[in-house]
Amino acid sequence: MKSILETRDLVKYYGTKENIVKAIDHTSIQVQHGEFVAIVGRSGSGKSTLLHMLGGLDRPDSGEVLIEGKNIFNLKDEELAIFRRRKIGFVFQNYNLIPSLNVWENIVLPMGLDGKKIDKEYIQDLSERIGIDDKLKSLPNTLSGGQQQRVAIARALAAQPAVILTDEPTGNLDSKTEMEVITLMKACVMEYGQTLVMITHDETIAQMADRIMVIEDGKVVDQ
Amino acid sequence: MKLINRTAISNLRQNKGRNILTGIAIFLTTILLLVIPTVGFGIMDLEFVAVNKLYPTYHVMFRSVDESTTENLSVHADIERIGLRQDAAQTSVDNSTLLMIYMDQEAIAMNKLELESGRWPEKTDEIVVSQGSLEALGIKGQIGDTITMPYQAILADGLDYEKEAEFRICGMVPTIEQDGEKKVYASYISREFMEQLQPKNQRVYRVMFRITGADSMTRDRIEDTYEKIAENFRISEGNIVPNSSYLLANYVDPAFYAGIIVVLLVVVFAGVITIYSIYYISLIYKVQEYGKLKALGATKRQIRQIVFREGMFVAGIAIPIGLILGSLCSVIATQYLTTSFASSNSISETIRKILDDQPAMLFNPWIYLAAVVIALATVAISLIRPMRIAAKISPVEAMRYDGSLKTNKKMRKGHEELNLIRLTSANLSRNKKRTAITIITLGMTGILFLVISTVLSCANPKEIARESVFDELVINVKSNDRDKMHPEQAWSEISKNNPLNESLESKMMEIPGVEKITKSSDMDIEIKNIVSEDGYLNSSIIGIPEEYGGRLNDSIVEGDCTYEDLLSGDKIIMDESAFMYLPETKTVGDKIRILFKKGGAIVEKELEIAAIAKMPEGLGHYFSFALPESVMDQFCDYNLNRYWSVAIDHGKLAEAESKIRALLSEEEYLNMHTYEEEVANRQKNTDFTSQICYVFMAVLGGVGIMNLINTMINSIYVRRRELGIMQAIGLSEKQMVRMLQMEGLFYTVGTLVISLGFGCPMGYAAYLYALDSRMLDIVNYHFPLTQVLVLILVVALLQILLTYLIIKNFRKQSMIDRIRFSE
Repeated sequence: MKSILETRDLVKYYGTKENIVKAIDHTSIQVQHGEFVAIVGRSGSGKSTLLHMLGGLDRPDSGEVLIEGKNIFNLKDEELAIFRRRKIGFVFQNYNLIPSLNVWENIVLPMGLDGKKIDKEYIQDLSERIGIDDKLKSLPNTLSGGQQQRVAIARALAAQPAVILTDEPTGNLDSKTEMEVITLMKACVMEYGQTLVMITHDETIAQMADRIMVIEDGKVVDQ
Repeated sequence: MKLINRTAISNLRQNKGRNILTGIAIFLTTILLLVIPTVGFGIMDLEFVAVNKLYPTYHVMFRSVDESTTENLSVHADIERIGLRQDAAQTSVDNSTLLMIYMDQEAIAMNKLELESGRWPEKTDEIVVSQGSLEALGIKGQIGDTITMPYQAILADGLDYEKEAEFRICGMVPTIEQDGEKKVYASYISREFMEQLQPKNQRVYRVMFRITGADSMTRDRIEDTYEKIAENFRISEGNIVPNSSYLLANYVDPAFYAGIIVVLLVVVFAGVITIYSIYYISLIYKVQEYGKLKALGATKRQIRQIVFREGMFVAGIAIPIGLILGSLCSVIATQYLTTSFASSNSISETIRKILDDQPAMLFNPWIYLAAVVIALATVAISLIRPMRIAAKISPVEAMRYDGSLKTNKKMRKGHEELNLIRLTSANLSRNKKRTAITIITLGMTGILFLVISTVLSCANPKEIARESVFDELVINVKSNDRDKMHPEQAWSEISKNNPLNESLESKMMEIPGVEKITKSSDMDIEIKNIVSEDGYLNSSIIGIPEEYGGRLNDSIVEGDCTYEDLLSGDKIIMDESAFMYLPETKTVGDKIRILFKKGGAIVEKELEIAAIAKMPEGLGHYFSFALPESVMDQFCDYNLNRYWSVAIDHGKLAEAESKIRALLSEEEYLNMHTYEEEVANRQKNTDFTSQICYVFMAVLGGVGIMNLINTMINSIYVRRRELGIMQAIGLSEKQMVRMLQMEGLFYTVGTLVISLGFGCPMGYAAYLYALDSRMLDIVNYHFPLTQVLVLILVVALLQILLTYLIIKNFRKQSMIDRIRFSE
């Protein structure tokens, strides 16, 4: 089966000489279509950097990131931005919703930026599925953390991207909400046939994944 | 205390961006606060110094004062300094008259007489002469030489027989250049010799003196004081000679002070709203920090102090820089104003010389002190509300604060579809108050600019000149009605032998190009005072020629009357300006009783005020009343022509003008001024006012721009993470730039809408006011199109530049850093 997401000999160092930090050190991974992969590792192990590389937010020193077989770093910044909004959905720990936009607008933002016609039925369906359909006109700062993260998940799913990348999406949530959110995310990804890569340091959550990758000092030590 | 200072100082470093902006705003405000009064009062002081250097410094001179009165005057409490002059003798040689004058030391000082060499005479046989007087006598001599001089003593009944005496030259005075055929030379003799020539009872002195405490008196009070003294000592009115040019030059219009204060208030106002707005806006983004401080135990007072001191530290740096640069600007501005615009008379030259020699004279410690105090007060006032806001922040609220603004709004209607424009407007509407504050503060500078521009653009030199010179040139009779020493120069005398007569007219009409002469007349009258029956008011009436009948009709502002109606001879038109000095308010329908001379007899006539007019200068020549020329001719026997407006074919203008000039050069009492001269003169005035105003506006605009920069930077700085997130989910670089540009465009358009929306009607109101109060002699409304275009261009360019710089700076930070910003 062809991998949807692949890195080849990816390298990203910070600092120089004695102070060098090898955030990603010759890492090659593969993620298959429809797979749910959890990346675990201690703080500072390089997992966030890897995720940023996978999402094209940061450029590596060397190596390649291929999404659907295409090296995303061959793209110009402008093309990369467009590629990102079509192919990748992000969910961050801090929800990172846009405070001046209401829930609906936050969800449709990636599509709006892409100038796409919004599939209102799909978004309505998605927000019902995620349980925020009664909050669509609310502003983000009136929502609880769990609700905000649900909105963030809806936003990531809205454009029906190939890959969803999440960085400690439940870090700020209590354990009950945490499980709800993860379950929801997993269900959605399966339902819509997407691929999910999640960073976490929570063993329980990691256990829910199809596959766990352990990162230490910028290297994948166990898959 | 120490800790608060340290916190404030470290805040100073941390909020570098904001503090640089407030610093610049304070700096610019300080410059204006210093430069405006320094230049304003500086030029005034320079004028005073120049006047005191050039003119005799006494306020008034009494003539024909006997010796005992001089003694009494010298001990009078209202007299500060007194000087005596006595013309003892004179002699005539060919065309020259030589005067022998005695002056005491005070008189010499007040008249600014200076010796070329030697000293003033003390002994009977000592004399001070000029080279010119020696030449006139046909003798040679220098200090120490003994010369023989003829003289005729001046006695009460006339000149005495000629005698001769030997004098030793003890000093030389410079020869005064004199034009004309008759030359008068002065020589100075000792008191002893004067007393020898004139017996005590025959001495009549000229007494020059300064009034005590005149520096703080208005001109009117000075005049009142010496008139009272004259009355007490029975000095007749004819023997009172005020030093008019000196009195005039020392006069300060109280409106001048009021003007400077108003301008400074505008500066303070602009400073306050700008600095306030910068603090207010950047404070919103510092909520967390102050919250943390509070959580750690800082009291409200301490937080207020931290904010206050941070502001004061900035002021402590910005104000001194402002003072230094302001001083420099003051010197440059004064030099520029006194060289580029001043006329080339002796006062202006003296002013320039004083300024070159001692520029430090401009600097007044009180103005510096005031500038510092006002600038500090401006900062303090600006800080009041930010201090309160910072102190009110609750720690819990602050800690939860995530960069978004606290609003009570829970819902947003929003749009189903999103695009960049909607995204931008969502952001701008997020904090309507902040957006509004910025746009309003910027708009206010714009409004002020438009109001000033409107008034200035209405001051159209050609149009104003046309109001005073209807044709190509005006010839008028010069008269001097207030000089009692020269009654022959009064209009009533000159008109008996009026130089504007038929012979001149025919000579002028012969000049090629001269097409038409339109004549206006002037008749002196007395108005029987209505307040008390026995009082009279001197006034005069302008006789309007038939050709100007239409113009007169057009100038009527109150009442209903035409030129033709006036021909009946029992009605008169009053100019609006007459309100200023008529002792009783007169309106349309009221009657006035006028007295005039006809054939040696005094005739009294009652006239009804038929209408009130606002006559342009070329029509009314600032007279209070107007009648048709034909009516006035019935009242008087003389030729009362006072103004001739001469129309000349444009093709032959230059030649005709020089011929007329040549024709008039022989006439002592005739004066001519051309339309072109008037335009040039008006142009100079307009340029002068415009340059001052626009430079002022530019600096004031600079203060406002700091506000714009602050708003833009803060608005982007605080949204770093937000923009980062948007980029992560697909906002391309181009889209971000477009979004920021649109935001900028919103500020630009908003500022312009407010500036133009309010500025244009307010400008029109200012025009109406200026028209009514005859400010700058404005005639018609002119929309300040150029200025509006410049404003639009400047605001737009500024915005583009600012957006460009901010985006450039924004790019330096990586997207990852932006996303992590609040983590």
